[in-house]
Amino acid sequence: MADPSNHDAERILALSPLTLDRLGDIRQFLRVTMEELGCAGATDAIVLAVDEVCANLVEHAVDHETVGMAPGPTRVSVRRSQDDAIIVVEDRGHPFDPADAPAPDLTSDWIDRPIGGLGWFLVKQMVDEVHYDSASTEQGMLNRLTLIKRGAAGASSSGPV
Amino acid sequence: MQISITQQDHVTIVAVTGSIDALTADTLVTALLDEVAAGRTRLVAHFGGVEYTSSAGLRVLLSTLKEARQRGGDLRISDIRPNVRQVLELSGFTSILKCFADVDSAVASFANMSGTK
Repeated sequence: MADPSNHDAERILALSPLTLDRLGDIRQFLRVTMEELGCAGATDAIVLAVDEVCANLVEHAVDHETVGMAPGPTRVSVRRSQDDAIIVVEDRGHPFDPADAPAPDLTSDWIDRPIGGLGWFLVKQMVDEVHYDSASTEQGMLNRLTLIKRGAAGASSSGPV
Repeated sequence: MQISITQQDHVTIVAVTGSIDALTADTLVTALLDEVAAGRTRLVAHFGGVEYTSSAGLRVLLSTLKEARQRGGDLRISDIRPNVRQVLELSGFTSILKCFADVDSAVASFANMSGTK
């Protein structure tokens, strides 16, 4: 049950390692957490955005020793700030700023439409703000992606995802 | 995710249940492309049981649609839930993928199929 007195507490899911078979766990964690935080109406949007981010971390880590695994631990945290939901994904893989993701092709005819390239587009559609920073630490790179969903606490579950 | 494949009026119905993500998409695209490779190029993806898809599901649909159309068939989709429909709409897929309210109308739409656009 949602505990209104506990809305500000940060919920954390640590994944070590992050592999594609953990995506279902991540989505379940987000569904439970968003409900607990009183942000159930924004669940679909957050689930899709974070799923895309985490799948990218695994799929673009192919030059790592172990294919199919994001390098180092990955941490997903969710908290609520007033009516906004704030999700932070920290990883130890290769830095990639989503601002550098190429624009998607949404309009070509089927024969010319490229397969793929929609993940970051969907992330950006699902949330209001995307912030990224990357730093070199003693443990290697630390990349931090912050997703902010404004008004998540007041979002209707039947509204836009 | 579960996949069930049946035939109806020379159309192959691929009913999908569960979530399509970067893990499960491989299984689905393999199942669909196997049908196309076997010459069953008129396909309906019955999505009534699909509660979630990420962009991985979009890759599956577009890969299959291209293969099927290049062999004279098509991939059509039915029974899309609202949250899945929104992903398709945002991604511009509703302009290239024929969507139907139910399986029967999707199957029937192949009856007067005269090539692909």
